[in-house]
Amino acid sequence: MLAGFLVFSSIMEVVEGSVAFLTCYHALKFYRLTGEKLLLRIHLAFLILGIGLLTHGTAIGITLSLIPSFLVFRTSALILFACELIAYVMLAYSYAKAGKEALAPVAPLLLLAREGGRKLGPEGLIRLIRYHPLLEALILVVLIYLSYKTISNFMSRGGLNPLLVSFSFLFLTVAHVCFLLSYSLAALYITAHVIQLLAFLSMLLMMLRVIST
Amino acid sequence: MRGERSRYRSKLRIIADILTVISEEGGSAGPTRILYGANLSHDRLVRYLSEMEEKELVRKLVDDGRTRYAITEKGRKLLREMKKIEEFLNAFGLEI
Repeated sequence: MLAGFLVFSSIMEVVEGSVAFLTCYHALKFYRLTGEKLLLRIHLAFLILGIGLLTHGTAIGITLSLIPSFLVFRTSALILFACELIAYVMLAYSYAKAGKEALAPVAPLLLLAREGGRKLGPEGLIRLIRYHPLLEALILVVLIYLSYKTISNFMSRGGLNPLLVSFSFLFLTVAHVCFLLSYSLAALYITAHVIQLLAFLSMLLMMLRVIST
Repeated sequence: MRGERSRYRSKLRIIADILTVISEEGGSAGPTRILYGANLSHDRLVRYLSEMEEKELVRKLVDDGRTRYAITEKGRKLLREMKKIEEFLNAFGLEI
């Protein structure tokens, strides 16, 4: 069961990472045409997000098929955390720079996941392959801000593309709430990944609509 | 493409606005129409049109002593790409 859990997590993250790369590719194409730093920031944000998801997804997948390694799990989890945080803060910065509101200050965060002789149940496994609930909460703060900005945009502008992007960030926020809760209830980890996949599919749909404009 | 913007317009945005005016006029337009449509001063318009002509985004046509500017295929392509970029950024609620 635990192996199935990891395989599922790995596949979902590879798919999500691929969608992030597709968005990043188009943002780069647009940046090359315009030279606008805003598009460069979007490109970098999705590039970093894609790297984080793919690194975590493939590290878990590869390690699982070889010898499960505690070090690889922890390192890839930390990389994923760092990538997600940088990517979402980068996007939040774009809104703060463009908009009128400043990004709410986030409490400085510290800690590394403490480990030790835990009995490895599904929750224990999640602690191993994800980062830490507090770090998860930090990302959640940034995602709530991004959801607020994209939903506001949809409310004021309307249209299907803004709706898809606001759905995307809303799904990401809900997914991270589920990731946070999955430290206590492992079943939510699967829900979180399904919702996160929906978020990336929403983004993909928006990208396809834009490309076919 | 042209909205009510109080913010600073980037150079690319101005070029796109000029191309939109010409395109909306059926592919060619006189300087006065472009000046009003793109909301530019005369000096800036002359500068932009000359640069756009150099970059082959527009072509100058003189007929019976009257000057018009026609959008080229390259200009249309840029305008199409700009619309995609605008769609992309609008989806995020951002703009250039």
